Amino acid sequence: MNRLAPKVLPGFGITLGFTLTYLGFLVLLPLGALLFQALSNNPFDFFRSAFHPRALSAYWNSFSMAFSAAVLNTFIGLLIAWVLVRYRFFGRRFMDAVIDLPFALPTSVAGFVYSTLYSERGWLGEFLGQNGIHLTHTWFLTVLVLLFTGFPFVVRTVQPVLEELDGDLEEAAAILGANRFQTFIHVIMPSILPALITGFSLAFARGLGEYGSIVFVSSNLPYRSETGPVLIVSRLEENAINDASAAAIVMLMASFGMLLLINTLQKRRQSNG
Amino acid sequence: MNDYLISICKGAMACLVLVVGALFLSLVASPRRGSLELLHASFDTSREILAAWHQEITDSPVSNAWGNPNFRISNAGSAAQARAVRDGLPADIASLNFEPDWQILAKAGLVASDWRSRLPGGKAPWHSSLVLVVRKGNPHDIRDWEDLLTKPVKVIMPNPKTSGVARLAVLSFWEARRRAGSPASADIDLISLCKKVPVFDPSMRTCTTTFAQKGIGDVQITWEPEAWLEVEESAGKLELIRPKSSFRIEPAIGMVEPVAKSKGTILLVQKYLEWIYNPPAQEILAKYHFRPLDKNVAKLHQDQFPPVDWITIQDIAGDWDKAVEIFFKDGGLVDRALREAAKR
Repeated sequence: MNRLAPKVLPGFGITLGFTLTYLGFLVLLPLGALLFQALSNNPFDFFRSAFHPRALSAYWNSFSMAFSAAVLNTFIGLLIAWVLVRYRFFGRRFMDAVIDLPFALPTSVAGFVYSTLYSERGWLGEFLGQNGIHLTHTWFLTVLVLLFTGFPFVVRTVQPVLEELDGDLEEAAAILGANRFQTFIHVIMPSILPALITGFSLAFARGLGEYGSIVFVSSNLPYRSETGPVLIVSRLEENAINDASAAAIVMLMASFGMLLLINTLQKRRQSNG
Repeated sequence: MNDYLISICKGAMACLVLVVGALFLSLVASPRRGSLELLHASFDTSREILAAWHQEITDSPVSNAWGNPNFRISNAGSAAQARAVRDGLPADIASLNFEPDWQILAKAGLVASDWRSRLPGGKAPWHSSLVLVVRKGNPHDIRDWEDLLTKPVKVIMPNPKTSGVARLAVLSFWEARRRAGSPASADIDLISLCKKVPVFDPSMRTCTTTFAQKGIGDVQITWEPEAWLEVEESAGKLELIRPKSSFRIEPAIGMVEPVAKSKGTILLVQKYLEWIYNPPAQEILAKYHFRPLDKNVAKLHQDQFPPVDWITIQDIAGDWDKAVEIFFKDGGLVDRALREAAKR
């Protein structure tokens, strides 16, 4: 009962009620409906559709693409954030604004532009093709698009932390005889790591759920290059709603589990350090 | 404690009021239905025909006699459209180019399962065939389905798991190969065909983009009206090839009775469904390269529509239910072929 004792700040009850109802409507109700749909058949059918060979290959494709892209994005995003925060140069503000474009651009447009640009008829694809490099509908191009859609997440989470970082610490490290590499690893890295991990998990989750661009750049071959979200839409088109919702549940659980794991690890790290 | 529960409830009430208010506002803001309105939900590539039909009606005295109805069109892939209508899209008329999609609506009690019997004369207003599109000069000398196997070509077609036309292409190809060999050899040929497909786009239109604009693949399997448009647009860079045999594609078309009843448009829909058999409507079909039913109109355009050795579902599997069972259900022939093709 003590937890519900009057708080100093008024309005707790009414705002909590509002929040719970709102979340219930927008998040829990649809997710509940999805779960209900998936479990309305017998559990055997659910497992059969959720772990169908085609679904397994789709999960793996989504996971491997999103993971590779997120790892690369973590490095590239950190680099970009570093440049934006630490240096002053002409066009910095413009560059800063450009970072947000992937947020605003519909991913289907990104997918279409990438696939056209790198096709044998596109000017970049034509040039690469003459040199024996064919990228259209390859795993590599898909990861490239995920790099595009994901990197603002890393930049935007790391950037504020880097800005807050006190220059004194680095000076102190230098005075105490640390070389630049040591300063980076032992002084800067621990402070930005949580933000970096958050950026990674956001980019990763984005990649797992990506549909609009992947449907254009991937070859979407079932059992081979089809990803989770593409599989789900494909299942819906086949009027196999139960298969679609089973795959959706697995994707949801996997993403949620992974985000939870990353957050927990991060919390533990913070409390230890 | 009690006070807190009450204030939590108050918050919940406030949220509900907000949500209901927003819903109410969106209802008020949505356009009101004025005069009679007819919504035709149709498959993707019929967009231009329907627009031309409706224009023709609006411009002719027919419109007045019908009470100047407003025509509206909804276009999407055949399967997506079937789902939309089943889930409540208030379409008075539906037309779908893949029979099993129609049966989704029939099972939901929205349309008559035997749509042909409800149409004037018991026949579909048009039919169409599957064709191949190749690059200028036909460098691989593609003439028939067989050449897709024997020539070193990459084949572009939509995903047979999602696209109605791709499924019809699979059926055409399989039946043509069965006639040349046996069911077992046709099965193997289908696997070989799947191995030659470098990318599955979700729909026929996206395939056209892949083939014509991105320049991927050597042969595209598509249907006649789409191929015409594509070839005309390419200004000589693409050529149309007609295989000797093709599935006879007929659109399932008819009234969505419960919707028409509630909107009071039953009579109007009946008139509409009769009108599309008239020469002006049939002429529009021919203009957009759909083979018209009307003999006179067909004769006028006969050079555009050379004869084809038609394949029907009876030839392949007896009926649609069996065909879906054999070819398209999970673990069916198409699924097996895709799986085999993935192991390269």
